[in-house]
Amino acid sequence: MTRVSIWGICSRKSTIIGRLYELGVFHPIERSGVERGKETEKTSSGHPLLERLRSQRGRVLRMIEELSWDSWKQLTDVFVENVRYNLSSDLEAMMDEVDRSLERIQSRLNRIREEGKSAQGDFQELRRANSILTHAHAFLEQESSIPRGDVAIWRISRQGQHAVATKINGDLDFLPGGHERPWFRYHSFELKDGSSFLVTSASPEVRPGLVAAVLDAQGTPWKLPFHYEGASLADASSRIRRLLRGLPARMRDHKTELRVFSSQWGANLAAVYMLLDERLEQLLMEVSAEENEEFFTLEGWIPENDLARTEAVLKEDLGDAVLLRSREARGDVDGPIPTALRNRALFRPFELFLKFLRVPDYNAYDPTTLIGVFFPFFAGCMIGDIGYGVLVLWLGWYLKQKRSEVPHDIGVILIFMAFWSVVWGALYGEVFGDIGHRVLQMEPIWVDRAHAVLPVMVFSIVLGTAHVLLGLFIGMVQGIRNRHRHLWMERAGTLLFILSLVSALTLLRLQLPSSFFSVPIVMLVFALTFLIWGGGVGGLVESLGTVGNIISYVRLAAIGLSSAMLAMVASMCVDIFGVSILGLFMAFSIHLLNFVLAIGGSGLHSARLHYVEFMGKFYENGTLAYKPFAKRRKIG
Amino acid sequence: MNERAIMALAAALAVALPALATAYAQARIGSAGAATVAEKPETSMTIIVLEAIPETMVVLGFVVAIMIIQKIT
Repeated sequence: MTRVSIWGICSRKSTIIGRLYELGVFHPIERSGVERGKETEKTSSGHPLLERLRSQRGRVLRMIEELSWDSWKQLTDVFVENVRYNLSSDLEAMMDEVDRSLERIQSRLNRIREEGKSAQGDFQELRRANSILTHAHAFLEQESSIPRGDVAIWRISRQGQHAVATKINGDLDFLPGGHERPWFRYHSFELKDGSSFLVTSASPEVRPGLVAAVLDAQGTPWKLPFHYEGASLADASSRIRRLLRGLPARMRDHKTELRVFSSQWGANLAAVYMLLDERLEQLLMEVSAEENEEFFTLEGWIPENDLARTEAVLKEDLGDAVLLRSREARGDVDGPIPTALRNRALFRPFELFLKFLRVPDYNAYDPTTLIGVFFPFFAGCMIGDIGYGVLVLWLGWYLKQKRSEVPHDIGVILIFMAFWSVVWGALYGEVFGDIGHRVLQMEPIWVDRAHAVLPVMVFSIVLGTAHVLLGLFIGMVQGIRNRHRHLWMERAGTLLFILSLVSALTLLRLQLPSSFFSVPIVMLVFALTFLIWGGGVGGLVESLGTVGNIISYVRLAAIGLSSAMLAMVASMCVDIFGVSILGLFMAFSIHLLNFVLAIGGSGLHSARLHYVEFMGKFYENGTLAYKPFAKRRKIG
Repeated sequence: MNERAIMALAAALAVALPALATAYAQARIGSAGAATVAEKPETSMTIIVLEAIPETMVVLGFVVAIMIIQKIT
């Protein structure tokens, strides 16, 4: 990382900062009181358009949410650049254009919504009216043919209905009759929502008493929807049914219109949002730059690899309007130096493992490549099955095609795991457990881990020893390089302690003469000296913990054994239940479970071995991650 | 009970008891760790290490069980 200072002419500040933003390699140093992307007293009052731009960005985002548009992943760079081309390059003019567009979109959206709401309201109202009229249909048909009849529908409770019926029937005898006796007939029903209705048919003399009785019983007259007022109930019923048939299509049309409108404007607004966000970032940088009357300065970092290109581009595009000075980074003078992870493209997906942690210190070792080598190797050792390996490969390939970063990286990691699963599967002679042996007479190249557990266990311990020693070695080198005496002495002591232990065990195993033991003893003496000198009693305890770390690698054998056993149990289901639906179903289910456990278990345990046993020996957390002043969008 | 049966039982217990102890310890550490990481994401590494420590018990139990089984067979 190189420490840089950029001087520029104030009149071309906007252009210079815009060019830096496009280059996307400059990591600015936050000045006190000015935090990147955050509002402070200086930034909020530093530019007349800043507040308006921030508020407009918020309005655009709100509008995108109102449109329920969320297809951000479908946006392309070409589309965004096309939108930029159609907008004014002058910030204020662009903001005016966006304001006008927002108003137009809002008004059209409101209109579509109002129409949709009205259609929905009509639909609900008519559906309810139709339901009421359907219940009353037979009664209405019968009563509409009687002359002088007064037919009405009342919304009234069950108790109220009983009270009205009793009252009116009791009053009938006392009412004065003309040439025919007064009459009163009724029909009651209840809707699904619990509301109850009374349909009445009565002679005109009965009407005043009926109205009074209904009102006494807390009932209310039910009226036809607004458009049908004045029509007879029987007529209205058939017209409402006709209209109801057409309404869903009207509502569908509105939904389609809203969807089309949303997809048409959502993408445009999303592009506008991105452009506003970019302008806001640049504006904040402009405001935060130190300046006098003619010049402004920016302090920050640029990765060494990008320095020459940045200098050349700035010189070519802006000539003498900008000056870039650089020097080597010095932690004691410059404070925390940002760390950028730079790995080969092949191993870059394994940077995912460091995203769970704080970024490594600038001077510390980046373990990504080693994780890329050992993680799939260990995971493959645990899965150890050609059949499962092929399935993991398919899953990895599928995920690799995804455009999102995380699924893509997981896909690549799975492909690595699949490769080693197949290799270990061949060594163990496993294809979906013992199916390879049963069907293809396949024999293990190395060992059948389901029956010979000990060799795999010993191998995993040897592997663990090598891995832990490598971690200790890196820790020691890092300690020497960064002049951390305690660190390198403790790591060197632990390294020698483990080596003396391994050599003593080897000598014992080979039954060599006792004079050979002087080598491990000398190593042990040096180890103890380094440990006590470097870390005191804590150093001794740490070195004993390392033995536990090595034994922890037995899990490679343990999990592999359980996976092999489960696969064999799946095959045994076919032996027990025969080649039947039940047998095949059981075998398939157990294999599926084993496959899920194989991916989850092997990944988890392999990651744990790296985080705890391996990286615990050297990994140093940094304080500052490299965060360039660049476009945030990562679209195709 | 003959000697082989007792040894088989011992092998089973060598894995089962540490497994129960590990499960208990990891449940307690995990719940506390999840809350800690939610508040302070920078403690992830420490929590992973703390969560991983009890697992060693089962691995050691497994090694002991395999040694017993080797003796039986």
